[in-house]
Amino acid sequence: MKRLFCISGLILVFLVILAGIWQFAQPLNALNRVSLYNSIFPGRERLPFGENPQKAYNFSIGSLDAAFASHKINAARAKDPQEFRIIAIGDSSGWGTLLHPEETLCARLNGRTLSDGRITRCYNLAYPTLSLAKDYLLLNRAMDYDPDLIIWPLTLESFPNDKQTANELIRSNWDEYRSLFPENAAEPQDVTIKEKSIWGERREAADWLRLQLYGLMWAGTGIDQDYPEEYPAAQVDLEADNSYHGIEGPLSEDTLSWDILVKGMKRAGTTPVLLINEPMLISDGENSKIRYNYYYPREAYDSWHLDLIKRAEENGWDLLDLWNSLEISDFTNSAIHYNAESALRLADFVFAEIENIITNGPLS
Amino acid sequence: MQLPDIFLLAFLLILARLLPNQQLRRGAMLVSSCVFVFMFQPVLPVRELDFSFPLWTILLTICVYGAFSRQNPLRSRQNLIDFGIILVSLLLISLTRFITYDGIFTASRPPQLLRILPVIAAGAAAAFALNFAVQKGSKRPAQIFIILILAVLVILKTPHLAQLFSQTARSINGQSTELALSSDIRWFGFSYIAFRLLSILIDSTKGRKAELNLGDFLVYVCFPPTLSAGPIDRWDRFTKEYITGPKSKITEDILSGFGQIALGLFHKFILADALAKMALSAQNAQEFIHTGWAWAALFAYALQIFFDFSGYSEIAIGLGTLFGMHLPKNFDHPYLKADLTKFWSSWHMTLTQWIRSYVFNPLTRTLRGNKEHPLPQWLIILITQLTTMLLIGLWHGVTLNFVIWGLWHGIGLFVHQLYSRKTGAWLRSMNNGFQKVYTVCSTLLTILYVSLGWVWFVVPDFAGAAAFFGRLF
Repeated sequence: MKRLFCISGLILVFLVILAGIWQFAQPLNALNRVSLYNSIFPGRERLPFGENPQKAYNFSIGSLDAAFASHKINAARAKDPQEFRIIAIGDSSGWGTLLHPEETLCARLNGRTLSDGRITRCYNLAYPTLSLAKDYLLLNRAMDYDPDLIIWPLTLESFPNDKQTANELIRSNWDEYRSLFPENAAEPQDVTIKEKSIWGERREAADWLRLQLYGLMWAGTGIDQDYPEEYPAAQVDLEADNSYHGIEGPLSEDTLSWDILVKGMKRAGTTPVLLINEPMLISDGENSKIRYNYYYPREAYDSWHLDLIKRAEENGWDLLDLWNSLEISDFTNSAIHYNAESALRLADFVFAEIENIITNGPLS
Repeated sequence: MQLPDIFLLAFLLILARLLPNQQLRRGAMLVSSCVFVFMFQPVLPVRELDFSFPLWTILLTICVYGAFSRQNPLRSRQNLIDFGIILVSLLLISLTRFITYDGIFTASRPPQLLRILPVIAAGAAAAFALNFAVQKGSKRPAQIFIILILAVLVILKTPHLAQLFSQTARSINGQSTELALSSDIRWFGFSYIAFRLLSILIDSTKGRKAELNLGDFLVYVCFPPTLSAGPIDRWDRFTKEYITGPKSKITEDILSGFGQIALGLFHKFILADALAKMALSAQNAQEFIHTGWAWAALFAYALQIFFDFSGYSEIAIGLGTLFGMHLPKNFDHPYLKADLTKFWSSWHMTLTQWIRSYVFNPLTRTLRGNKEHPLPQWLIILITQLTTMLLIGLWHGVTLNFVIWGLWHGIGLFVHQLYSRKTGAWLRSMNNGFQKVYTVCSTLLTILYVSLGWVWFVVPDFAGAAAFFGRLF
């Protein structure tokens, strides 16, 4: 019995010491910056995201540090003089829902030779969440990688005020969000000692480990997304609803977070930013005179669209307006998710605009 | 077995161990065995089947007892008590349908009592009838049950037959037969239960007397720690230790038991589950585009299956130790063995020992027994190795790929035995340094051969496995 108590006591002491070290050192932040990607496994082509890890070999991880450490941009700090480095941010259409990594808009821009001889190298830092604040978070990080051009695809659904912080990526990186948006005076998260303990952080630590483990399957298969054989097509027959986020008719300025777009453009500084008004499905089905698609009533979208063009002109922003550049058949499972062929066509448009910026310089 | 099951079982086994005498412990273990057969059974889409399978396990065990036992159950007070305990346990489990709509001890709500009682009565009557025949010296009941158990195994392990069974069961229950799948028929632990039942039946047909009580036999067959993944203990060894009770100190057993459980949990829930995320699987086999990573995934699978299986075995052995039962070792560093024969002597050892005792040795004796037309030695080795490994393959599933996997190892063992006969003396004549290098190389070669064999095991169809081989080479 004495031996039993001794060994139980030793185990207890070991656990207490381990918990104490964890509490004191808080190693999770450092751990999240360590990655097997870009060393043992090739870096990921896009940020980790997914809800079916068993099939996608990928999943949504909260920590931006861990996400960036797994991305191939993390191995691309030193820029070749011949490289024209493009970083694309944006939402799920840019990230490439239902597209293979090599089929995304960003991937289609890769390896093209510009008129000045430089070769494009595009890094896909889009993330499948509709929020300008999230875009800003990624843009802010992207600036550390010395881009020659930022591509920022936009759609109205990223603009409403209530969309900005209502997503997991912002919630998981709340301190970073607060530091980037001091004007919002967001309350700090109430983190208890228990939540910062080894027990409280076990899931984040396990997520980090899982991300590393899925590296082998990513390396072996090149798959980072669940591709269902069948999926429901984007909705064409629509509700007779003219409201957008509870507002009927045209949108007023104060309901949308234009300030974040302005802030983003300022953050880019001298680095040119190419804003793209993302293509969207324009329905010809039921109630298509009221709504363009599942997301947008015509009146609301048109008011935002005109405002965007006006602001771009006023501020000298490079805006590539591709909102109606695709057919209904070009969309997959959503009004903003386009197929691989369309991504290639869009890349041609975008590349032409990049050439224009290179030749004539950015507007601003 | 999931983590909560393991901790609950550990707690109950310690409680049972703390009971003041072995008689009480045996009673508690009998009740636990009945209950855990139901608790471990996963929920099945075919109505009432997840209650029927555990019930059939217990009734089958009682019938097998009747088919081999020379004891007259009506004259054995202990057997009547045991039967009473089993009956009360089954009734109490059935009555939980009145407490909740979900099962407490069962995967889903138990059926009505009036539907269960006739089944129990029929099972008990069959057991008495079989025993009556055994009392008169007949071996027929044991032989019938050997065939019956093998037939059930074949049905469960053959996807097409299992699907047919599911269709029939669904049609009886008025469910859609179109939705029938072979995976509907998951009889928890039957692979292991069948081997335990078969061993005693085969022994009894050979005239070996097994003087066991019904309760002790049921605990041997359904000992909760060993239900999910073995080990497959021998009935004589198990019951001897079980009846006499633990001889070691409880504190030593708790320490040792929890040590083994901790190791098993680490192997299963940390190493194996982590490796599963990077290992070859039926789903990802066709997705590999890079040869090097395909090899890495194959080796990850080789480790995953080892840690998964050995982890469960260690947990079972640890849980048994808590109760004072010292179950046999099931794995002994198989990937560190220098040849395939040694690998199979240290991989799932209780299964290979079972096969050796009941298939390999009798078959070898039979083949050698023909003195007039003796078969050449190499042919005897070939037949016995192929037969035993084929059976092990079929035990995992009656599919072409499991057959190939069995043959893969059967041929490997045959070639190794011929090779080692020819080179054994030469190798022994070499110096120590050479022998060490030779051992390292042959160990690596064995790992490679076994790992390549896993392709047939993990990929369910021939074309898929062949395509993966194409990716590897």
